[in-house]
Amino acid sequence: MHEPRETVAGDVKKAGFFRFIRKVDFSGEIVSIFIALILLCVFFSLTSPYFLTIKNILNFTMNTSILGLMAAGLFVAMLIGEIDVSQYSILALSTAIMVILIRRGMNSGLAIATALCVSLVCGIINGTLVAFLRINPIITTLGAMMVYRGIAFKITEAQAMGVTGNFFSAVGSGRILGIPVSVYIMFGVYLLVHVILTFTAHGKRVYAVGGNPEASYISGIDVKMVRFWGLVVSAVSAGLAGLIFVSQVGATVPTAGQAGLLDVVTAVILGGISLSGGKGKIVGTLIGVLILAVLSNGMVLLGVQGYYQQIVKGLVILMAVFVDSIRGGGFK
Amino acid sequence: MTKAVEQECILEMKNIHKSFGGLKALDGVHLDLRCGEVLGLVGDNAAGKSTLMKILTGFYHADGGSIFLDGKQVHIDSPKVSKRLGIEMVYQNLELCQNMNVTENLFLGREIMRDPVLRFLKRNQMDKKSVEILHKLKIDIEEPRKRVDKLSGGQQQAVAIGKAVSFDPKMLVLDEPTANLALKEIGKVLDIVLQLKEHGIPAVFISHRLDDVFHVCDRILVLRGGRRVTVKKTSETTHDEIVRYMFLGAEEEPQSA
Repeated sequence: MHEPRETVAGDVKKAGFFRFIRKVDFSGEIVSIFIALILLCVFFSLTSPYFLTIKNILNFTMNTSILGLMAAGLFVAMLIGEIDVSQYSILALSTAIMVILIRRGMNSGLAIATALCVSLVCGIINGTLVAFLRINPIITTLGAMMVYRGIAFKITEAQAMGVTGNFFSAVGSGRILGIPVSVYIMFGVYLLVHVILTFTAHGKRVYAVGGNPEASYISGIDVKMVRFWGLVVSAVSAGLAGLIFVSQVGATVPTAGQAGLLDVVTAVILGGISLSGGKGKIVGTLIGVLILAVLSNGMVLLGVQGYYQQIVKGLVILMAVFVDSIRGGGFK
Repeated sequence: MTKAVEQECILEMKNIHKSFGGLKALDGVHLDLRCGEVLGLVGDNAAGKSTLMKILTGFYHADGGSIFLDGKQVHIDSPKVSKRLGIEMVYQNLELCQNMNVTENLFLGREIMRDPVLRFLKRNQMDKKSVEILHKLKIDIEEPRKRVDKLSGGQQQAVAIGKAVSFDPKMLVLDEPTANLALKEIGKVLDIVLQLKEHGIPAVFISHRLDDVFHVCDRILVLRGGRRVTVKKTSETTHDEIVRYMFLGAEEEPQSA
């Protein structure tokens, strides 16, 4: 047993240095997936002369911002140990309502706020069912996905509906220093999530509930509320992604995301999150999103058929889940 | 090393009854904890030790009986109330977040924050306080930002005890704190329990390991089949006698210890 020492500040300073080294996380999954991303980029740049062009990089990064935004929200939900597969349906529903309101003469700003409120309400519904009524999150959000999608189909009569406006032009095609605005928005959201998770009590409680809900409860944390807010954040991120979707496509599309239903989940899993919750870093999710984007873009450039693309993505999910179970994350 | 045990009661659980369906888990149990003492709570499996302590910490509601803290009757209907009254429990399965560091575990749910809305943490201040808490109990952990799953079992148990103590409790309940630990680690945890006694924090020490109980406890209360068998001063009894009470039982005698 050590005697009490008086160099407390010195200890903390020393710990700070090692903390920095650990943050770089040389042995962790972040470096592994970053290397995977680099290898993928090297492979596609060697096999396609178009891959490494500025235009292509900016294009696929811009296209990634929708997936990226939703992945940031889903990351928070999955960190708590929940999951949300209704994000694309929330995107479809919130944008459908927004576009209809604008076409009926509502002010764009108000319609945008309404769309975000719709996503918030969807999140509140999902969160209430999962956190307070403890219905399985996959079943809940699968059901919610069908309901939200169905409403979107009904109110749009299954048609894509176009919309224009200054906000949508600025977000959809605007660039700052040559980089699309949507990319700034995506990186801004990632930075915000990183700051909240790392430097605030809210973030620590998210990690705590995901890691050990019983210990969190005993420590006085309102576990249900944390779970509730995780699903709300996931839904609102889908609403935000919807704004970018409409800005880029110029319309609301009720079938949006139906083809790539699990892309968001795939990206987050690729980013190294533990499927049992509690472990993962938002920067990993960003890399996971980029891996998926590079993979999709590269396969398109190489002329790989859509069927094969699905197979490759499916195999990537299985590989990521396999790696997670080896790491000892396991399933709850 | 140990302060003289004072005779004033900090906790009294009187005539506690608890049944689960047709099964009587506790049948009129009485427990009293005196200021500054460590009370051993022993008994075979299903003796009612954990049930009694779960009633004290608000996880179960007693069917009958009353609880007095500092001489005043209290009604403990949830873990929150128990904590508010100053009763902290260190659980057998630790109840630490393995994915978080020592400081984050020590301050979980009562973080030191810069503001009440955004809740930005005062991380350096929390680290300094963690080191202070750990050093106060002579707990040998140098890095407050070391992740708990990187610590040994004994160190984790030490953090769990440190966490409970940092709430400045009136009393502690230690549920099998030496279970599943290597011999060397057990010694360290027992040292920490003795430290608690030096700091005047009374504790109920639940254990199957009689060596540990005899090492740290002032008195030993034996339960069997949900009934109180006896309570003995550690200095006035032996392993054999306690084992006899645990497995063969005996009539409760008048308050001798």
